[in-house]
Order: sequence, then structure tokens, then C-alpha cells
Amino acid sequence: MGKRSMPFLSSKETQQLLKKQKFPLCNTLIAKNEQELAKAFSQLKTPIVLKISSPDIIHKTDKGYVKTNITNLEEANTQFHNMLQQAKNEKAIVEGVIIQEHIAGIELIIGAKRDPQFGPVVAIGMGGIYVEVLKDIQFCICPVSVIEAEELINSLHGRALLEGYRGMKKANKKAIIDILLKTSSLIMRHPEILEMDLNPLMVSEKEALIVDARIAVEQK
Amino acid sequence: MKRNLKPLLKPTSIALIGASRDENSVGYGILKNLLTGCPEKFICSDCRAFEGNVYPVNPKADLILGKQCYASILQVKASIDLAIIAVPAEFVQQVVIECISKKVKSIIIISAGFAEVDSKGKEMQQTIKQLVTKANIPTLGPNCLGIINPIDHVNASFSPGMPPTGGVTFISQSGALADSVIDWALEERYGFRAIITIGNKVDLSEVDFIEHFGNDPATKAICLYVESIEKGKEFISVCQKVSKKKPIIILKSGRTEKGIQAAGSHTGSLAGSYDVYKAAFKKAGVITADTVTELFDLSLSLAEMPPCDNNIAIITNAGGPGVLCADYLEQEEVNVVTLKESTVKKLDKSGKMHPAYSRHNPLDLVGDARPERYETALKVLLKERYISGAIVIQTLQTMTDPVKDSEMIIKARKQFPLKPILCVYMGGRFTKEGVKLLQEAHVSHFSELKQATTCMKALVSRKKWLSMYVKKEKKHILKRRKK
Repeated sequence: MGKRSMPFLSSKETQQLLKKQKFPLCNTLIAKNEQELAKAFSQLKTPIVLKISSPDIIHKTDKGYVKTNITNLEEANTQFHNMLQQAKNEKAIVEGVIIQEHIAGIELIIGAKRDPQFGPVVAIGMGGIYVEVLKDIQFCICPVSVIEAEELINSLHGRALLEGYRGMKKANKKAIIDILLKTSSLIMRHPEILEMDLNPLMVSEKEALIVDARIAVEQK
Repeated sequence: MKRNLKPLLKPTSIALIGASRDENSVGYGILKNLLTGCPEKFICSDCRAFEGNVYPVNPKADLILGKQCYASILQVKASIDLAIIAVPAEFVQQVVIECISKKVKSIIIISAGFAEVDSKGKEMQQTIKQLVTKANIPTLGPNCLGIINPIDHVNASFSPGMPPTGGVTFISQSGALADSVIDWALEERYGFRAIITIGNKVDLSEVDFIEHFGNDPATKAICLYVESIEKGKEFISVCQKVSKKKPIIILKSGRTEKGIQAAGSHTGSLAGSYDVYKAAFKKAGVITADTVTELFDLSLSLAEMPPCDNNIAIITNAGGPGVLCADYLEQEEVNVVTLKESTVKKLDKSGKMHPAYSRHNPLDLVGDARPERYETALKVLLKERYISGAIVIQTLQTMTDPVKDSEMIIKARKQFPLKPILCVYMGGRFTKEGVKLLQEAHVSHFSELKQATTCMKALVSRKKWLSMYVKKEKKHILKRRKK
């Protein structure tokens, strides 16, 4: 977990910006107390996932800030309170707890950064939280074209997983390409964006959904 | 921004400030190279003397190597296309001011001791930058080897001589690398159009030379050794334009350097600087090499051979090497084409094949293959529309004739000019003559199979890249018409 060394947009701001640009987001609700948690829980299908929403906490899974496979409200309440207490102990700024439905699919990461020599660069990688170990990641200098986006996907070592492997259905590649193009446009049109992660991006036969995102902006 | 590099690359008059009588000095070495093409101890038939006028400048000498010396460049009456500065760093600024006053058309600063050393050097370099930028005089260096231009007979450097002439232009951020390449080229008979060492890039950078040689008809391929690229976006846009005309191959060092990243996003910390450079090269249509050998292998084959579709045949008189070759090609995702029944029938009908020949690709002609068998195989296979190029392997048996085999290959290249043939003569002493014939006919030859397969992959990739661009442009034109 890092201290705030790069200014990230809040969960709400991130969601708003991505929604405005028509990025496909997984249905995400946020609760600051038990009542809001109960309300959110009733709106979603189980199993659900709880995650802390904090600009200070980057690697949520490592520190136990992601609780999956929650099937009832009692369990949700327990985990909710535990998470908030832990964050309080670690003196992190907390916006609330995120509640989402569990999304099945292949886990990808799509991101972008600004290179001092070559300008904005888009990245796509396999593995979500394992991406740093697997290092199966491909880069493209912006602007990214449709052909380049296709090539990025086809250059991943794990691309067979997207082709329908071992009984799994073929992933919606068009949806992934769309997100790559949108990411390229976004960082090109917004010079204040320094870096961004759409991680994880869950891809299935039907669609690609962004489950979590972080956008770092220049502080004025 | 386009600069006029003609006076730098093809000068008619050169001044050398810092010319010296000391035979072991840089100032002497450059003068000798200008006057004869190479140092006394490395004289060979590839040396060419500069045909224009040379004006050594040294206030302490009257005559060096038979040439009259001047106390300062300002005392030279004639106009100067190129001023080469080889004085200690602390005197360079003053000399640059004099050159500007003299209105020289270009400058090479050989002297070291600038930004590569310390902050004082950096400051001196910055001052020089301001001076030459204001005066708009194209300036190379400082801290470089100079320029070697064998085609126009100019050795404006302290290199160990001049390489043979050819179609490859080499731009290097390392002068020492360029030096060793020259000696290697003389032995291997590898030809260059020009060798440019860029040094500290106070003014001119690789981008300027890629643009210039992109428009030079004598350049068939451009290769580079770089450590860093400062003008990233310009680099990409210039390379994209030039890559459509001729191949650019690059060897970049500094790959394991880890950028210092503030604790930020995953993407930020995962994008190592070499990953970004690789992405930039891909965007620019530039081909990357992993070693110095690969850099020059790729440059030569891309300069000499046409790019082709992904359908390759292997013709060999040795089974083992044939299989190895197929292995390497498949690893590179190059298609080792399956021979059609009709093709095999044609080979059978020729009556030239060994009864036990392989009847598939790799086409094993068997160890006793004489030139006629190679000739037949090449003619039959390359005539097929579904076969786009070939790798020819030769091993030496009692009846093998490398010279005549080469003649057959050279004939096939003339017959099928759009289909590349890459040769691997596995041997040494008694294959030399055959290899020489290939080299003289500009047919790419390698001693190791992997070199040939790497180059074949590059030819296939280049064709794919070129057709993608033509497709893109056609699409773009159609889009505009529809509007």
C-alpha cells in the first residue's frame, strides 16, 4: 500500500469520467454505512464482492481489502465493518465500501501512461493482479488504430485464453478493441491525465466490463 | 525540419582546425584520412582520397603532410563547406565563433569533454548549441568519430580507414562501434553508402539523417545504433515516412535500465523504458535487431532482397540442416510451405532428382547434389505462385561445386527478381569462392542457419507491414471519396 504519491481521482470522479466517455463499467454501488450497504445488497445478485474505496490504497487484494463470494447480508455487514476498521487503523482516507456483483470471465488489464519521449502510450496485459509476475503485457504508442488494437491482443502470450480454451467460450474481442481505442482517445484528449489503469477488466463471450479503475491527474 | 546536409556529406572544401604534426594525434589522423582515405598502416584498395581542397588550421605549424597550414580559419580565403574541429574542449567555443564568422556551411566537432563528462561540459555544450542554432549551421557532435562517406570519397573522421561501397547507411551513437565495423567490413566485403557518428547530438540527431538518407537514392537500407532518442515524436513521424520507401533497422542499448517511477499505477510501473522504445519502433515501422551481427545481417538482406509473402521453401543437400532451418522458421512463425502434388510431379518429371529425395519441404536434394539439381529445384519451386521465397543450404561433399551452385542461384535471382533467395553455405575454406560470387552478385549469404531465418522473417514482416500501409492508404482514399 502506498502513501499518496500520485494524485488519483476519487472513485466517484473516476466512474463519472469513464461513464461519460461510454466505457463499459460493471454495476458499482458504494456504501458509507449499514443502511446503504443493505440497500445496495438488495439491488444486486449474489455472490457479491466488497472492496474498499480509498485513494490511498492501491493494492487492495494484498492487504485483504477485497472480499469475494459474499452470499448473505450478515456476512456483508461483518466484512464491511472489518474493512473500515482496518483502513482506519492504517490511517487511509476512506470514501466508503464498493459493492459489486461477481463478474466471471478472463481478467485483463488495460492502462495508459505518458512517456516523456514518445507521449501517451496504451498498454494491455493478461492476469489482473498477476500481471506483474507474468509480464504478459503489450504496449502501443497513441493514437491506437483498430488494426493496432487487434495486433495488441494477438501479441499477448495468453491470447489462446481469449480464443476459447478448454470449453471456455471465445471472448468478445471487439469489446476489448473498443476499450483500447477509447483509452487512447481519452489520454490524448485530456493532457491532465498522467496515468490510468482499468484493472481488472473482465472479458466474457458477451462483453468486457471494467471492474475497477484508477486515473491519476496532474495536480494544479 | 529539413536541414541542408549536402555540404556536410559531400563537401568540396574542408577546413581542419586542430590539424597536428603528431602522428599519434586525432588532428593528424583526420588529416591523413582526408588526404588518402586511411591511416598509413591500414592502407588498402578501398581507401579513397578526398578530391576537394583541404585547409589544415594550426597556428604552430607551416606545413603538415605537404599541406600549407593557416593560423586561423579566418585566414583561409576560399569558402568552406565543412569545418572539422579537433581542438581541446575549452577552445572549441572560440573556434565555433570563428567558423560562424567565416560562414562555413557545416561543422563537425570531434572534441570530447562536453555533456558526457560533467556539468561544466554540459554548459559548454549548451553555449555551442545556442551559437550554431542562431547561425543555422548544421553541426555534428561533439564527441564523435566523424563521417565516412566511401561513395563520395570523404573520410572526415579518425577511423581506421574506409569500408567498401554499398547501399547501407549506418548511423551510430557510438564512434568506437563504427570503427570496428569498418575493419570488419573490409574483411567481410560488406559495403556502406555512408557511416555517420552522431556523438552528443548538440544539433544534428539521428532524425535529421534518417530523413536525409530516406531521400538519398544511393541508400537502400538505413541502420542505427542508438543509446537514447530525445525527439521521440519526430522520430516516429520521420521513420513512418521513410519506412515506406526503405527499411530502417535499429539496435538499441540500455534495455535493462529501470526508470525511476513514483508509486503510481500498475501501467506506470510496468512500462519499462525499453518496452516503450519497442512500441515506438513498431509504430514507426522500424525493425529491431538484438545484436550487432543481426543489425548488419538484417540491413544487408533488406537492402539486397525483395520483401515477400509468407510462403517459404527450403532447398538443401543436407537433411539435418534442412530440419534445423524449418525449426527456426516455424519458431519465427514463418510458413514452411507444403509442396503440392503437382510441384512434386514436376520435380519427378525433370529426371534430375535423386530417387530418395525428400518430396516435401524442406526439399532435401540428397548429399550428392550437383549444380543441376539445385538449378532444377530453384526453377520448379520459384515458378510456383504459392511459393514466395527460398533458403538454399549447401554442405560440402566430394562432388559439391560451390562456385557453380552459386551461378545457379544467381541465375534464379535474375529469373525471379521478386522472390528472395537467402543462402547458407555451411563450410569455410573451400566454400569461400562460391560465397564470394554470391556477395558480388548481391545475393545474401550467411554462415549460420539462424541468421538466414531471422532475415527471412524480416523480409516477410516487411512485406506485411508495407501491404498494411497500402491497405490503410487505400482505405483512407476510399473514405475520402465516399464523402
